Amino acid sequence: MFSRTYGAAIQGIDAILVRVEVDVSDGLPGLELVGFLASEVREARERVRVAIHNTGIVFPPKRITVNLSPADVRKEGTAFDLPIAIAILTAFGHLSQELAEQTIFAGELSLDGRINPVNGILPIACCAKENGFSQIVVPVENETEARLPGELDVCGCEKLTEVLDFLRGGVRQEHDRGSGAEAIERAPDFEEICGQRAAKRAIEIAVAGGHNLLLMGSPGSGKTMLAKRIPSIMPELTREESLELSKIYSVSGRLDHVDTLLKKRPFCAPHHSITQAAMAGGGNRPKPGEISLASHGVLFLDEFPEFERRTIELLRQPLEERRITVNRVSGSCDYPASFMLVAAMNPCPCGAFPDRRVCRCTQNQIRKYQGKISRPVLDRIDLFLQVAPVDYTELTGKGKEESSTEIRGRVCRARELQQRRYADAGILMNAELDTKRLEKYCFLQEDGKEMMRDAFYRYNLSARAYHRILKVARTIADLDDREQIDTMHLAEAIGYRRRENE
Amino acid sequence: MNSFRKEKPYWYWLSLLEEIGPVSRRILSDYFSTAEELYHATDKLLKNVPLSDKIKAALLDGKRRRRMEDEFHKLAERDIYFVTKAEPGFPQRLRDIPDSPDWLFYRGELPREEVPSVAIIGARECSVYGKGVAEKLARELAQTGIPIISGMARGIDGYAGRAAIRCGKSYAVLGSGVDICYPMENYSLYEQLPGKGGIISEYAPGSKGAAWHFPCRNRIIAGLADGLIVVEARKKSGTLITVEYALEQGKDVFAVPGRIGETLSEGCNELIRQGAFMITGSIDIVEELSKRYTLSQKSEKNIKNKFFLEQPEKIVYAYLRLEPKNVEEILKEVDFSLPELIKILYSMEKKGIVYSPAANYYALAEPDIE
Repeated sequence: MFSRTYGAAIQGIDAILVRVEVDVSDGLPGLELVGFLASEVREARERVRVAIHNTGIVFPPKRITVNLSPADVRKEGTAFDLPIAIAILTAFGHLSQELAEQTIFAGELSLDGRINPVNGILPIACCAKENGFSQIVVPVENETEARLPGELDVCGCEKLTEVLDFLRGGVRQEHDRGSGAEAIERAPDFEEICGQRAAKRAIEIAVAGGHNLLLMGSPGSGKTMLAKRIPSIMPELTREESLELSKIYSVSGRLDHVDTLLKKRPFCAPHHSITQAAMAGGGNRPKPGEISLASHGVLFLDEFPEFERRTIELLRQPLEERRITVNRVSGSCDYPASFMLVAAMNPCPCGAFPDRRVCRCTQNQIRKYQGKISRPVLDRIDLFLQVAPVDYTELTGKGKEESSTEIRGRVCRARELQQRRYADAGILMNAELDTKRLEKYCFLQEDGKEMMRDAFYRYNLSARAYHRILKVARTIADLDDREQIDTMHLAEAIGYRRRENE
Repeated sequence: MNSFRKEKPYWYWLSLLEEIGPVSRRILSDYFSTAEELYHATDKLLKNVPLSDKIKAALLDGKRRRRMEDEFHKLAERDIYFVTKAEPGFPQRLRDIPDSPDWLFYRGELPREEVPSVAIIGARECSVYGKGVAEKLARELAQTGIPIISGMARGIDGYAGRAAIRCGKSYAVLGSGVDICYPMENYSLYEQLPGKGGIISEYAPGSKGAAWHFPCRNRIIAGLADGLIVVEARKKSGTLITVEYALEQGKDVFAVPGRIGETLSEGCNELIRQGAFMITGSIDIVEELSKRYTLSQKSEKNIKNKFFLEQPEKIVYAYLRLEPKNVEEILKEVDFSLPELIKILYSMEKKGIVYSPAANYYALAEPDIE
């Protein structure tokens, strides 16, 4: 007897529909699985057989062939246990073929017939919705996640028998899973940082224009504190962004027990010992790396020069294209990587430069230290900022500081301005302006041109540095709600340029 | 005159033999009256000279190794000049110093005899204060027509040289050949010097500059100058070697005072304690030098060159120091918004009053001497 049901395979952060076909025939008894399967999928053979047996259903001595189609897509993970079991039971005649074909299944089986949670339920549910399925059966732990795309009848099951009950008669077991209320955690807010007006201002500019940022400062000057609060002033995630982000987290198995899509912008701060694969994504079985997990949020690289050089170099492509393609023998995966890079470093080995009263580092040492980061990477950073050490009065002062909400209000207005301006250009933010568009959108008046000419020669600017200043000035003007960039905006932007240590 | 021309290639040949130092040369000069004789010296003639076999071998071998005539004539094509002590063009100031060099290579020109010159030297790892003082002194002295001699080293030397060539002349004495720029970071200065003064060395072109060359060239720095200014020096500093030479040669030593406890000024303060002139401005040096040379009145006026500041700039100016301050600190003291403040600082930077060593850090470019 032949039967068919559906599951889904994860590819990148999306899922593609997989047809699970089962044929039961006479012959030498056995269970054969085919269809480009990873070893954990092949192991389903034992899990499925024992789980069915332990559910109290007799496993007849027949020749059973299972095919997962399309057979040229590699299937990984343990989510195929459940669809395979259901397809076999259908082929045995325990379920009607009609019921099995209307539903997508995902879940890992235990030998006692329990269903264990799996990763990547969100993309699978999205895939079910897109392919016009009305029902999805998932492990009970993944139930809330499967509801996120909406419009699907989700059945969370704890045991294989519950699935059978549901498919036969629509009987649902009520599960007391408690409310999936997120622990309410107060996000870090800029009002907790005393002083540092100049640094806050630079961060506001960076966020408003989507610029990458390099924070320099002596140890303990608050670089990390500042960086952690950047997501709090970024505009709220749009639904598309939120869905994409949730999918990335779902595929990585980090979307636990939530009942909504991710609403908070991520803040990823990998340690500098991180490997290239962990940063970019990959591994034998590709998984999203930190740069993807930081999508639509902040990738904070503290102690920037301490990162392995090649790890930093691989940021070059994602910084431009906002995605990354991970190629492995077993196939290639495309992950989104649209993050804001915030790097932090000491200005010199001792950290006190330019305070020469404390800093005894030689110019050579300083140049060598700062030179650990290659130019191509620096070229993708628009704002350079040196954070002042905090002094005592500030530390203990009780001055009223601006809250993140207020700053976010200004950032959002500036972003709206940009979106309106670039509606036809196909970009969203000033940081994405290329040379051709720069001329069009960063028009300078005579005094501005004079100023830039002067700065160009005075500071020996490269063409790239020159363009960066214009882009940043554009953002400053947007924050000021001006269409015309004036000398005040330019002067500030010039202040954020990179200093070449003579 | 003709004899010089004929002799010169042989002197040049001798300068190429790095194995033969000043001491060996003095011994050789007792046996051979000219470089030409030495060149043609045979094994037999050298036998009686009390020098090691290694040096003798170098002498004999050097003849085969070097096609000195050709090379010598190629020097001029490379704009490198060679002058021996025997020629009148050799700087008079260097004739009388102990261990006077036997020859000099130079690009550009040599300092003029009738004009007083001053050497500015100091720490390689200098402070922003030291940089400011060195630049101000160098600029003002150069404007007065006093050329600045330095070693083109990193730090004070380089800053002084760069400031001087903007409005006057500067000479650099190298520890390598004049065709080699060391350190590389001063390449732009090295490039400009031949047009705005000169590059001088006693080592033959191509010489990479051994470590011991550098203290040796310091005697030429001291020798070419009428006064030596030490801007910043630690207690044990290479700069003090030059001071030793200057004192030995009977030159005036000027020291820029520093704060107590400032390690970079300890050397200078110690010099003042020992009797060096303490200077607080270029006028001190000009006054001292004008006792011996006539300096034009006009140039003295140049020194009191004051910038025109606008009202907001004056306010910000009052809060700036020679050590860099973060805008954060300045913001607390003045009543401007951040963008306003940065605009003001930028226009001051443009006028050369302010200097920004790192993003958001600003310092006075040079001390206010009035």
